[in-house]
Amino acid sequence: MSSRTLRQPTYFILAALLEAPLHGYGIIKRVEELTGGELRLRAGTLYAALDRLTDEGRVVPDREEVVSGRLRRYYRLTPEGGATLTAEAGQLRRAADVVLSRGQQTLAARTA
Amino acid sequence: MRLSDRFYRVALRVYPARYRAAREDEILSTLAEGQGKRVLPRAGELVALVSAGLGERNRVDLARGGWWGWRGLGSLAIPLTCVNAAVALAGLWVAWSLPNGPGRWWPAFAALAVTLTIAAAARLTRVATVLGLANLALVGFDAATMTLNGWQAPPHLRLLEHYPASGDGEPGPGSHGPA
Repeated sequence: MSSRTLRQPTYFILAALLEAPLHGYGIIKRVEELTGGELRLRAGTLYAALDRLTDEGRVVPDREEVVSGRLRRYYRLTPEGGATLTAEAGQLRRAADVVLSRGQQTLAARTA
Repeated sequence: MRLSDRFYRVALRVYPARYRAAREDEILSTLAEGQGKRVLPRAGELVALVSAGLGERNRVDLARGGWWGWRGLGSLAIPLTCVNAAVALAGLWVAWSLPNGPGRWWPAFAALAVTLTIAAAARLTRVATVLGLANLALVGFDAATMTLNGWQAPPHLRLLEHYPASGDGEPGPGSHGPA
């Protein structure tokens, strides 16, 4: 894979922001949904990734809210972040196709 | 403040002060939302905070001075401390196995290990780095002289033979460095 490959948490953070800006815990919940509960991000991991993505211009802080005394900062996907995500998804699809397009026939033949 | 908040706030102290000033409230509110009705903090969250905090410190240190500047050396303080604590413990063990026993100087090892740990934890990075490098140099010197002298204790430890192994009331030499 090329150097464009994203680490799994980064990929799902970008994917979580695809529809709408979300705040920290919103991203954690969305990633959990998207992965069927398999990936639950820790706050430390999430913010380290968000900082990096912000530095790279793939995500920007959107707006702030205070809900019951707690600060919520929302993050939004930039066009560049969207392009990175789409490219990565395409690459994953091609990688999956390598196996899935011929996997079943081959497996059936091998186990016959 | 909730109990879990207190724990998370302590873990957040690993982050650089400037980062904390900008992000602490935001990170704490994310943690609080994930906490639900749990009273105790999640161990995984604490570990992730400490590890991300150390990462952020190193990132800032390296961006400022590179590996060879003071701050670059500072980012070595924590691994160096671990090595030194291990060396100090090994020194203690060696001391106990000497014919005269540990004598009265073994607290020096413990004090050194504790000092290094506190210095690194408090990010007194220069102190930890200097102490750590000095200790490593001393260990190297001791190892070299002991090898050359047929495993005789190095000079600064031979001074200790003047003190009874388990006497009390006499001042210890308070020296440092394992045999």
